[in-house]
Amino acid sequence: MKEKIKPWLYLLPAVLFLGVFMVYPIVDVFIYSFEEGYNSASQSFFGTGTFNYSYVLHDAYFLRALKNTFIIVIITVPLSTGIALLIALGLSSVKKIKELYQTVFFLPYVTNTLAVGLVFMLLFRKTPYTDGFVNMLLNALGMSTVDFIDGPYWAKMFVMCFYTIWVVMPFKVLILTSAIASVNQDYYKAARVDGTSEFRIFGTITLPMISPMISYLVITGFIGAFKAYSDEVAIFGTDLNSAGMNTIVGYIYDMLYGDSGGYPSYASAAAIILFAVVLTITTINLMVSGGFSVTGKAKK
Amino acid sequence: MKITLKHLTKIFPNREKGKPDVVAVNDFDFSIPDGKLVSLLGPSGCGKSTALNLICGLEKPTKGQIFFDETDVTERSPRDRGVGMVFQSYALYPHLTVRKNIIYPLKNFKGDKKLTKEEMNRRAEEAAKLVQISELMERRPSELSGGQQQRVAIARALVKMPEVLLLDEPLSNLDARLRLQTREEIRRIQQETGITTIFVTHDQEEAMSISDIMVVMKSGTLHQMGEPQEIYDSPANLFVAKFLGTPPINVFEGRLEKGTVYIGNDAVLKIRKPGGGDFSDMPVYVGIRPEGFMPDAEGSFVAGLKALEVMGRDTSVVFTHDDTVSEVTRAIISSKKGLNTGDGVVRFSVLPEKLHIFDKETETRIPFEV
Ligand SMILES: Nc1ncnc2c1ncn2[C@@H]1O[C@H](COP(=O)(O)OP(=O)(O)OP(=O)(O)O)[C@@H](O)[C@H]1O
Ligand SMILES: [Mg+2]
Repeated sequence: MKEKIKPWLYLLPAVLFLGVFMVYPIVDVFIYSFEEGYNSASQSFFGTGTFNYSYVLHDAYFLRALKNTFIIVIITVPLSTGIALLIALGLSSVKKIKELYQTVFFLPYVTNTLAVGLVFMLLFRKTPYTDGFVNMLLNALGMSTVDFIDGPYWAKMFVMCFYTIWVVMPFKVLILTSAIASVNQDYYKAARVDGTSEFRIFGTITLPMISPMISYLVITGFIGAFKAYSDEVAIFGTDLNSAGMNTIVGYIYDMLYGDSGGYPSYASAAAIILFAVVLTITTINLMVSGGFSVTGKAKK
Repeated sequence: MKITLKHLTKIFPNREKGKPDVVAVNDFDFSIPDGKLVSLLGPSGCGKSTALNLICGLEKPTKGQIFFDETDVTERSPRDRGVGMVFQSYALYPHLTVRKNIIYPLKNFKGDKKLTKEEMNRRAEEAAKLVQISELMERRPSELSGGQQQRVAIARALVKMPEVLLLDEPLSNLDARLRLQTREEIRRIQQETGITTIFVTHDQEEAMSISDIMVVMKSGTLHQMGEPQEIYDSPANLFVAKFLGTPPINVFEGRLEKGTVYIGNDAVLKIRKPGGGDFSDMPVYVGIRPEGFMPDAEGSFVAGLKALEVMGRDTSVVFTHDDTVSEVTRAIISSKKGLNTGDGVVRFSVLPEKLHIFDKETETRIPFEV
C-alpha cells in the first residue's frame, strides 16, 4: 500500500502545478468557447452552442489571421529547416572555423527578438526621409523600391517570413550541427572505402541518421510558427489588424484585450480552433516522421 | 595482389603546443605477398589502424609510397583503390537491412561495371552464403548478435570482390568462444577466396594462430616480420620475445662469463658463437620460455617455489628468483616427476632452444649455439 502512494506523493507538486496552470485553463477555455453571449462584467451568459465558432469563422479579421499564419508556417518551416541543414553541412565540413562560426550563428538566438525586429524594421522601412538600407540596395541593383513595412501585402509577408526564418535559424543550425557531429565517423569511413559519392553519403547515411532531429525541428517549427505573434508585433507594431499582418494568436489576444476587446468567448473559440489545427498537423507530422527511425525498429 | 610499402611514414601533428608530433607509422618498408593472410600485431596505440588507413586511402602518408602489384596507388582516393575493409565497430548502417548493407558498395559501381538489381542480389547472396548468414538477410543490424554483425561486415567487404581485404581488430568485440570460432571462419574465408588479407590485432595468440606472416610493431616502428613460429622461436629483440607467448617469457638479469650464461650464481647454459668462437664476458638479459624448464633434481637453475597451479593437462609452477625482471615467473611442465618441493626449492634444467639472450643496451637478441 505504502509503495503505491509514494510515487504519487513525489509527483504531487508537479501534478498540482500542471493541473492548476495547464489543465484547468484548457478545460475552462473549452467551456468558454461554447458559452454564448458571455458578459465579462456580470460573468453571465445567455446559453450554450456553437455560435462563437461560427462568429469567429465568419470574422474577416480571423480569416485574414488564419491565412497569414498558414502562409508563414508553410513558407518558413521548410525553408528555415532546409537552409539550416545546408549551413550545418557547410559548418561540419570545415572543421577549423566550426567553433567560431557556431558562436556567430547562435548570436541572433540570444539577442532579444524585439531588438532584432527593430533592426529589421529599420533595414526594410521606406519613409519620406530615407529609403532604408534594403531599398538602397535594390536601387543600386536597378530595381524599383518598395516599402516593406507599410507597403503591399507581398512585401510585408516577405519581410515577415525573412524575419521568422532569421530568428529560428541559429537554433536549428546548432541542433543540426550537433546531430551531424554525433554520427559515428566509421560509417563515413566505410562508405568512402567503398567509393561512395559525397552526394550518396549524404542521402543514405547523414540524412537518415539525423532524421529524428529534422523531424523534431519540423514539428517544433510548425508549432512555433502557428503560435507566431510577438515577431509580427516587433516589426509591424501592435495594431496588426490595420497592417493586415495579424496572426491567430494575435487575433486571440485582440479579442481578449484589444480595442475591440472583452470577448473571451470568441477568443476561446479561436484558441480551440488553433489547438485543433496544431494537433492535427503535429499528428500528421509524427506519423510521417515515424518512418525514418534510426534505431532500426521497423515501422508497423 | 601484392602490396608493397616503401618508406611509408605517417606523422600526426600534436595539437598541444610544445609536445612532439606523433609518429604513428615510422618508415614501413616491406612487401606483403599475394594471397597471404598477414597480421599486424602490436600494443594499443602503436599505429596499426593508421597503417590500415594508409593502405585503404583514408589517410594520406606524410612520406613514402604504396604499391598494389606494380602500380603506385599512393595518390589514389579510396574509391580507386577498391579495397574491402572491416572496421572494429563493424560500421553497419543501422537503418538498412543486412541485404541492403551488403548491396551498398555494389551500388557505387559506375559505367560498364554497373550491375542490375538481380546481379546485386545474387552477389549479395553469394557473399552472405560464404559467411553463413543467408537466413538473416532481412534483419536489421540491431537484431543480430555481435558475431553475426561481424559476418555481415565481412560480407559487405567481400561483396565487391576486392583484391585486398583489411580487417581492423575484427574480433575484439566478441566473447572468448566466439572469437575462436570467428577467427577460424576468417581463416577459412581467406583461404577459399585467396584474397590478400591484412588482419590487425593486439592479441598475439590470435595473430599466431591465424596468419601466414606476422608483422610485430611498437610505437609506429616495425620490430619483426616473419612466420609466426619463426618469430616465436627467434624473436628479434626483447620486446618481441615478451609480446609473444602466453604465459609470457620469463626475463632475468644475467651475464655471460667464460662462455656460460649465468643467472645469479646459477650457471644455466654453456654457449658458443654461431659457427664457433667464444663470447666475451658481458651483462645480458636472459629470457626463458615457460615451457623451457625441465624439473631436474640435478638442474642448475634454482628457484623458490611459490605456487603450483594445475591446469588440466599441464602444471604451472610459479616460482621466485632474485634476478627476475618479470612480474611473475612461471614454468609450464607436463609432469611433476623430478619436481622436489620438500624444502620449498625447485630445480630445473633449461632447454637451450627455449632460452634467449639479449644485449643489455640494445635489447636485440644475441644468437648462439650450444
Ligand atoms: N587523427 C589523428 N590525429 C592525431 N593523432 C592520431 C590520429 N589518429 C591516430 N593518432 C595517434 O597515432 C597513434 C596510432 O594510432 P592508431 O589508431 O593507429 O593506433 P592502433 O594501433 O590502431 O591502436 P588500437 O589498438 O588502440 O586501435 C596514436 O598515438 C594515436 O593517438
Ligand atoms: Mg586501432
